Amino acid sequence: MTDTTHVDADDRRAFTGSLPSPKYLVASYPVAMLVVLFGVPFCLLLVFSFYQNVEGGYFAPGFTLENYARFLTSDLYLGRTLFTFEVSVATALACLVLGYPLAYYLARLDGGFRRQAYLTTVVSTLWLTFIIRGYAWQVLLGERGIVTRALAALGLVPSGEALTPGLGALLVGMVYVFLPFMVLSLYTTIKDIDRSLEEASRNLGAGPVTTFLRVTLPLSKNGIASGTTLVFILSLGVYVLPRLLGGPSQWTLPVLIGNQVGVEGNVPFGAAISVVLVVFIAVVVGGVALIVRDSDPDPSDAEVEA
Amino acid sequence: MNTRIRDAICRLALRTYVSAVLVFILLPLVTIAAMSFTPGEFLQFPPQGFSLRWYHELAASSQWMTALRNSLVVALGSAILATTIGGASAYALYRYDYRFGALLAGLTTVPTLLPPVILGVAFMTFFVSLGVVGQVSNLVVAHAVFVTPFPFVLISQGLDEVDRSYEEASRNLGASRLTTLRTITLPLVRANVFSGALFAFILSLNEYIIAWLVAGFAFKTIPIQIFTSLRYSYSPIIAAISVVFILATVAVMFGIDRLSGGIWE
Amino acid sequence: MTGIVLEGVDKWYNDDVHAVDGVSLVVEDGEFVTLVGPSGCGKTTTLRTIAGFESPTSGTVGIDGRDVTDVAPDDRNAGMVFQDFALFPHMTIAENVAYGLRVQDGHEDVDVDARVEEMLDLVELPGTADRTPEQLSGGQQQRVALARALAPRPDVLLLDEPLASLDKKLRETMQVEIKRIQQETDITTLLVTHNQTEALTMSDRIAVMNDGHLAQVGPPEEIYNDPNSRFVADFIGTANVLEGTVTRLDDGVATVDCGDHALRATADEVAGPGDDVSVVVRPERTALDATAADGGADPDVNAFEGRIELRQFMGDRVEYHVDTGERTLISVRDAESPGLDVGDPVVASAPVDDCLLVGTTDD
Repeated sequence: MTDTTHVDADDRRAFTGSLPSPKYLVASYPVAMLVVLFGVPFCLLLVFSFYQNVEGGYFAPGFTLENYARFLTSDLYLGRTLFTFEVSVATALACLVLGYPLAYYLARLDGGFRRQAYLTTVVSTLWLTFIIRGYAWQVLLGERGIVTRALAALGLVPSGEALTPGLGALLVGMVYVFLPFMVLSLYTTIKDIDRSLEEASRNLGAGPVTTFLRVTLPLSKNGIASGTTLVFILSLGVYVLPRLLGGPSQWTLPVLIGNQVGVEGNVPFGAAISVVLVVFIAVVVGGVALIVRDSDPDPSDAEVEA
Repeated sequence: MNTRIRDAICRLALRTYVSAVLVFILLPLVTIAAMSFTPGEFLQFPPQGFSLRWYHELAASSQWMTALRNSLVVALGSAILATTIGGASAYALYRYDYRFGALLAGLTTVPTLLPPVILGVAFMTFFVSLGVVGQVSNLVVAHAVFVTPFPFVLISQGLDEVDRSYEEASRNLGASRLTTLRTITLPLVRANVFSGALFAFILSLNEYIIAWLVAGFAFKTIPIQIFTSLRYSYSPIIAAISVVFILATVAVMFGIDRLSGGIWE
Repeated sequence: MTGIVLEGVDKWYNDDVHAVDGVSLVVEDGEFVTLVGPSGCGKTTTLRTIAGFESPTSGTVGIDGRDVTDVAPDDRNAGMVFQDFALFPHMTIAENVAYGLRVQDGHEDVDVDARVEEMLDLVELPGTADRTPEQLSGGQQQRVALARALAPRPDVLLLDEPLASLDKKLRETMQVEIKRIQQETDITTLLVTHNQTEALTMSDRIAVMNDGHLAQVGPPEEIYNDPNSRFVADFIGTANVLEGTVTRLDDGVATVDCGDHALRATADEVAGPGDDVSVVVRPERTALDATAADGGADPDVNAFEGRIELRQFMGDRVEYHVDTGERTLISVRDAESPGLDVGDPVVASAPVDDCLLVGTTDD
């Protein structure tokens, strides 16, 4: 029996009679709210990106491609776009490499208090505002920060110099805020891998490294793909960290958008950069979806071949 | 090499690494907490002595307290609004089949995947076009849309686990659709509704860029107040408010975890 | 006033799955009817259509003399017991049983309390009022589900595989209990099950369903002794089915060529020479004798020579599988009768009166 055409007698009565169908009544509230409060603002963003900027924080309705032209013909903005992309890729890869061992360890802990405690620690920072976390790293990497002093003591950095603002500080901050996302994504996947598969591999004579490379890693590829994509997309949108931990040469597209709109008062140009960023993200997400679909062929196709 | 020694080395290396990552996660928070108790004028680590001076100053500061009130009002309002939108969307999609159901699900979930700064600009254009700017209620609406995916996902999960036969039994016993929703469905997903609302609350409380763009210079929330203060000084009062926020966030996350019986498991 | 009336009920899913195919059935006032059939035959969909959870594509549903085809589930006054009982986990037993009264207007608290007590007494669960469903065993939950369904005084009682989730012993107890409660309350009842034993033991009448339509409707004895099709014979009870072609027909007795045997069978249905038919023989209507006892061919008995292939001791009886070369016949004897062992040569015989001719197709 299928639920896809499940129709109550009273839905049918409503359909044929005078009552509005509860089916559409129920959906009308979220649809109306989201269309008005999300759809409309988003369309306005698009509309504003074609408006004319007026010096002094004003704008004039109209239609101009000037804002887009300014963005697409400027080495500065194209360079920022590339930089935003690079930082996001670096963050995603660093989170993957640093997060995998932790996720693996947590997934293989035999339940109990320790796993709960570790997981709580990882998750506890997940939703804490970037402001406080960025601020904490400003302090730690500042001139007299303990991390700076510790690194100086090891002779890794010159003593007495702040490590923030800088690219290193930005990357540390990015990894710090996105590592929990990666760990959770990997953790749920690895936890579902049957441990007996690893034991079977060991039983067949493979060492722990071979077992990991040949069994565990391939089986966790879904978690790797979703975690990396998630961190990458979220990284593209970060505003706070480049502002707090980076100098102007580490500012990403979101910072430029925020500055245009909030500081320069150039809303149309900020809107145009926003549209570009959305298109960019859509292309990335679409690309990932295509790759995932190609590498994971539809089982019905396989049947036809067989 | 002996297999047992090799395995032991692998395990030891992994455990050392895990400890290092946990230190990495906790270090910033612990440092902030420690420094918030300094009696001096400046941030120092290790702190010179122990005092609650900056917590008293925080409580006495009308600037910070106004920001805290704004933050709480916005978080509460947007959590309630987001839970009604996300909950209705989840219920509709769980209970019925729509030809454009996937579209509704997408519309409900996409706001968190967009860079918040873009939502901020979109809302700014929205409120400017409406001619209503600088209202706290604007931010309630903006944050509600931003956090709606969380109650939506959590309530959807809850509804998924509720067998449809409970609702059918209720209808069969003479309860109307609305009575069934009120007396059967909602009580059965109550924990999910509360977790979803708490999630929305904590997200709104911690959000900065949308708040800043929507508020303009009309009012401040705690994240805006911190960010503004950071430009001028590193007053330990920032560390104190951070500790309050960290504790509140951790407490709410813990509450969500209890309510939903360990969502991370 | 008639309990349940289904008239030409049709149910299509997505225009390509024909779940219910023109079902017409009348359940009289106070009658206990069982809708039985294999899984996927449409019996649950039929029941859900009566309860109002599904809308028929065409046809009408009547309850207690009222056309309820387009009436909402909550206005049908049809009590239902669900397969997994669906007891509300966030309510006590008393709250569960009271639910149907509480959601309707015009019930005083005292009346509700009295009714809850009365219902819990009826299902023999006094003193459980303040417990929660998860504190009860499967059988107790079943009783509560019955009490809850009956509390609002429904016009009809619908039971959807109510015993499927219970173990065998409990299932047998609950069969008796459900029948007792049904007789005490004298309520029109429609039970859906895939279990033919339940159907045979509990019902006033059985409706055998197959592939969306009703194959046969009648009292249990009639369904068992006089199945109208090979499907019904096979589904209700155990049957030896022999396929063949009619070669002769005289005086209601057909001679059927089954390849190795020429069988004589009672033909109720009109069949003529050349028709492909099946002959049904119940295992307990066959006799087994050692081959030595050869009394010559009796025209009123069909006899098959063979060897015992398998012997299964069932407690009160013994089931033998006899290999007759072309086929295996199943025969059942009392446990007391003299033992036969695997490999023994035997003659399996069945009186012509007990060999029933049915069509080969299921229709």
